[in-house]
Amino acid sequence: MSLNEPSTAIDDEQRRRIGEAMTQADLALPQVWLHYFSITGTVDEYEIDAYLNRMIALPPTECDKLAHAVNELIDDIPPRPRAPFRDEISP
Amino acid sequence: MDNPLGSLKDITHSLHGLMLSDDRAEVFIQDLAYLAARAFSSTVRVECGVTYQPAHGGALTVASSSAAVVLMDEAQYATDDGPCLHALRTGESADVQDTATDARWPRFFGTVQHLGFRSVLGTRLWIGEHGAAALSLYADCPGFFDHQVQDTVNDFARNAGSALEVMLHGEDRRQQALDLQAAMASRTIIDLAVGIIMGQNRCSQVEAFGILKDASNHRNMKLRVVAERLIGTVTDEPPITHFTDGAGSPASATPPGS
Repeated sequence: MSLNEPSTAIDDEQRRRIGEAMTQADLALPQVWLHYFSITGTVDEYEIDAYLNRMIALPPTECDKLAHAVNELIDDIPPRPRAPFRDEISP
Repeated sequence: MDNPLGSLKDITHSLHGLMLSDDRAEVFIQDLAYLAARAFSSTVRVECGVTYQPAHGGALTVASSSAAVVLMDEAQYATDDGPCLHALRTGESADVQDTATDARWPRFFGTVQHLGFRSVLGTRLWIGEHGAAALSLYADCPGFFDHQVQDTVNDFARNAGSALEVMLHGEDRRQQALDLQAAMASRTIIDLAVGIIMGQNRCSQVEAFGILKDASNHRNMKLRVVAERLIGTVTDEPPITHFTDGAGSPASATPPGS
């Protein structure tokens, strides 16, 4: 996929929602890139930055690796404490 | 009063000694507390606490030259205010000539006096992008921190701040190197698993990665963990990443925590 190729609606939607997921989970780009790189991502941090800012397109596999990396980092965030039922409280 | 610390050259020399003796910032911060207490003590007993607040949140690191300092620092955190926290947050030094007459932090002063200290000085250490740090000095007589001593403390703080900044910088770099090393090891594991899938399914690299990714998503397991298990079905030997560290010796391949 080249720089000049027009992005599709799917590209835009995925890019927007990856960015949104990162913002919501408070994930910083260096952290996301490192994890993306660790799962065999091939483009560098600046290109990911450019992609998220709608300046370049990335091949679909790289977009999916990035999404996967973001999701694994989101899974690592400790869940919010849940409210206990009565029988879960030891006297 | 004589300059309790001797010349600036001595300060710099002592700080360089500390920087060379251990490359962990945490150890340096502890040594800094001892050094400051020793340097400023004479017939007057001076104790020191160092507080480091990393940028981007993160836990506070606190070091003390004595158990009394631990109690006094705790008294500051309990009321969430005091000379050291004031210096840490505002960047201004906070000097307390006499805890018996100063009205700013009465609850904290109660603890300080109870432990036998009468004058306090909180000074910010400037450590650049790494966050904020502050030095708190406690002396067992009132009025210890006069202008001359404050000047010396400021010199000390400037040097100590730069030294701490260098230590934190080095620590960041070492952490980055470790992170990249772990990432390379993880890439090896995933690439090997992708190769195994390619051989088993007679498919392309992209398709094989897709299969691995789907397996990871369906099982709610990390990609690397799925890859490790897949490799485990083929061989008992752990994957090796071939690269060398700066010293030229082969680096460990297995990522931490695997």
